[in-house]
Amino acid sequence: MISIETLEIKSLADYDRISGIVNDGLYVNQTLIDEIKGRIGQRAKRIVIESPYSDLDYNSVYSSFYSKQHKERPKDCYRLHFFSEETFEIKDYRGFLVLRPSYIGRSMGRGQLDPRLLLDPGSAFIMQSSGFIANLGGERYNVSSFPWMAQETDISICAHSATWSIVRYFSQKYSHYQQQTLDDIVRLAPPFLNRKVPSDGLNFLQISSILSQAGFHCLFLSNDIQGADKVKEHLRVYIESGIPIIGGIKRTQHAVVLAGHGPVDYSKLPPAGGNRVLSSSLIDSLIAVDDNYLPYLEVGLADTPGGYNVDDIDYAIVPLYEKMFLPADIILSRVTSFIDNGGLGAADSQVLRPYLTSSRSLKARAAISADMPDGLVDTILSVEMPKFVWCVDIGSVDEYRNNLCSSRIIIDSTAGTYDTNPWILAHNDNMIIYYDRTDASWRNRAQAIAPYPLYRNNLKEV
Amino acid sequence: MRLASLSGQKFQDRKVETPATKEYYEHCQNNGNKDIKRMLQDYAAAYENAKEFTVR
Repeated sequence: MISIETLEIKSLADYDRISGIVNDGLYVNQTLIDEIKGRIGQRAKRIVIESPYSDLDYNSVYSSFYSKQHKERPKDCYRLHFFSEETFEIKDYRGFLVLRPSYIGRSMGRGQLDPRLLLDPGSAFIMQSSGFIANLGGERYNVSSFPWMAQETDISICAHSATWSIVRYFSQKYSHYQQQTLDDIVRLAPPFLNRKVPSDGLNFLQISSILSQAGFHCLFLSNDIQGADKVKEHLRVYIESGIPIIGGIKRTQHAVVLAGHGPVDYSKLPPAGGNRVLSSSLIDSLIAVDDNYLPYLEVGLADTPGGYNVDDIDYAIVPLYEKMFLPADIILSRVTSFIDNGGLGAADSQVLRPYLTSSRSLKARAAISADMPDGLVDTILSVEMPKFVWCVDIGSVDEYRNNLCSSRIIIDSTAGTYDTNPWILAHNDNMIIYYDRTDASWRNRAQAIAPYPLYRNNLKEV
Repeated sequence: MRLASLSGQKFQDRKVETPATKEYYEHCQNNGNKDIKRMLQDYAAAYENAKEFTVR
């Protein structure tokens, strides 16, 4: 029979009672309790402990690896469900954490944890899929989260966990990506000189190959080649685009997923009339999904408990959708050249905010906008676009400080590398230029456009 | 509903020769395309540089 136990969290000491309920050192240890206590603290008011729980990912490695070991290991898991209030209400549900059996204290399994459980309001912007539903006691609890899992160590290491997180995130968010279990990820690693199981490590070619087989098209970034400043800039542009990145850290030989960013530091904006800046330069910290710690770890200028900081991201793999042909640097090169050579007239273009988005979401946002003039909304809705587009929101320093833009350029992400006209639509405060695909013509319309809110859809503010 | 305002609407705005200025195309020809070629070379070099980085 399924056992359901409820634990009220009135003080941090109440977390210690998890051991009393689970009561098996294979599933719970003091390090695990201290991690939960330290990161979640009193943001959880109630924990529901469900057992036995049959976990898809643990089962996958149980079948392929643990069932072949001499020492017996349980097949079942526990699942901890977190509520932000002393209720069982769906609105207060903050996700779950699977506890799997481990002889070496790595018992934190899959977690689908709402960032509000681990971070204070206003402290971060994070990619989240709301497509996961936890079934508990006949209720369907929806959770908005980025999938996380601690490494198992024997069969999977940090790179497997990071790759699994990204593939699971996309499969929950977009139906055309197939769900892969942890064992699927392990098996997708191409043979190299080392064994697949137990794993001795993965190199970035193997990680990229796993992602390619899962349907992604990967770009590589390296501090040694592109330079630390460029890599830093591009990481932030792709994160702002809602594309999780695998970051490689030489200092600790570690890989993490970068799935969001910390607060925007508006004090770094230049004075009006000063240099042009990218909005990404106002972001100091990134949010890591690191398999050694509960998710949404803020990685800033100081070292994290894992012994790395935001400047230690030496390599990155950016898993792109097949038809995102143009990378960030080519877009920025074309856009700055377009603006500098009079492309948007005299409009104030001091802050540029580039991002990728689906044309579907862009149009949906435009359709419900209360601030865009009808002429602009109708043009955005009627212009033909590919599935994904690059956009650059452009505005003055004052507009950006108020989360507004007065110009926008929409760019064809499928355009050829050397295409000098990748533009789909560009507008400033008094005109719109757009590409009419039906007769392959460029058209221009005079249209007064007051500043309107920046596009925010790829990341969710905690 | 936006559909109501889109229904039957024809977009017959003034055609323009090019969306950008002559200077922009000159810049692409003289410098921009060279920059892009270098960026592509960097992606290939980054791949070579990163592919043997192993995490454990």
